[in-house]
Amino acid sequence: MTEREQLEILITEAIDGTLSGEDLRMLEQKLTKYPGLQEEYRQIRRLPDLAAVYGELRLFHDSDNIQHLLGEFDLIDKGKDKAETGSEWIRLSRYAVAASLAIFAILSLFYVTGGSYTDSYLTAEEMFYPMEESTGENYVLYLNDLFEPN
Amino acid sequence: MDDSGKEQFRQQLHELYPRLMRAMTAYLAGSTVDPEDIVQEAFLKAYQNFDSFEGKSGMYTWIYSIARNLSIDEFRKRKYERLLHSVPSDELELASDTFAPDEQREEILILRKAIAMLPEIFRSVVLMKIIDGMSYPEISEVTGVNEQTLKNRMFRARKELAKTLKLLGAEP
Repeated sequence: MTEREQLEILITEAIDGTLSGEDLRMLEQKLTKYPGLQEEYRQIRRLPDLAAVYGELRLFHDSDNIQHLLGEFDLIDKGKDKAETGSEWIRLSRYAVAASLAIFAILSLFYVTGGSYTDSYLTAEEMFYPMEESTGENYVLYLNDLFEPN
Repeated sequence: MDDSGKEQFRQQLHELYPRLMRAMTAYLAGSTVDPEDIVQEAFLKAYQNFDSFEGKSGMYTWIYSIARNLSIDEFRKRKYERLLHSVPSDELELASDTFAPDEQREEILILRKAIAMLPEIFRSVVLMKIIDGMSYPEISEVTGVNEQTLKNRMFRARKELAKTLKLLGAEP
């Protein structure tokens, strides 16, 4: 940081009123080496007080808007409760589906890994779709008998 | 932050609201952005995202940051910054104004115009420090800029103000 920049910071502190009397005298002495900056310091010192430019705080108190906001906060809280209940239900459903799949996988594993696979063992498909003698099969047998040369 | 923090936020609304409203009125003076809309939106956004408030900064500086960011987004959308120089002083008058003599009215409106004409990085520091009474560490929380830089910006802002007031015929 240059000496000029340091002086600019000291000027700000002087105007803010946070500089001690001794530091203020030192600042003003240093400024004699920088006539341009010294003039800027003088102009800044002459600035009117800006603190009251936007009036008192109480003028900005708006009970209606504050009440409206409090009402909106309640709605946000209610909305969050609903969303949390919904997400809990979704979470439980996911657990239920995962548990069902796990049970199905374990049961399938028993049948698949229960010794070498032969025709005498039922496959998972056969469990769900049991083989039944169908009319179609009987018809095929009948046709075989019919055309079989005697 | 737990529910007690939220409750505290609700209870502080009566203090936070007028302070932020005055700050945003000053910050948005001369623009087409409505300070009331920004303040309402900032409070709602803060409440919706209250879990992200860690309590490291003050509640006011936190809500101020949200309001300032919302305003900057609006500025970007509307690209209004260049228009500020052409805003007539009369348009900076507020419904809440209670001027005593006409001279006071004139002086205040010129000062408002001079502040409104400052670039955003200077205007925000002047308003936070002088109008809102924030300390430099608090302004640093809002802007994310270190204190030395903020003091330097304050110097440049005051220098600009002196120059602008001279141009507007109200030489300091």
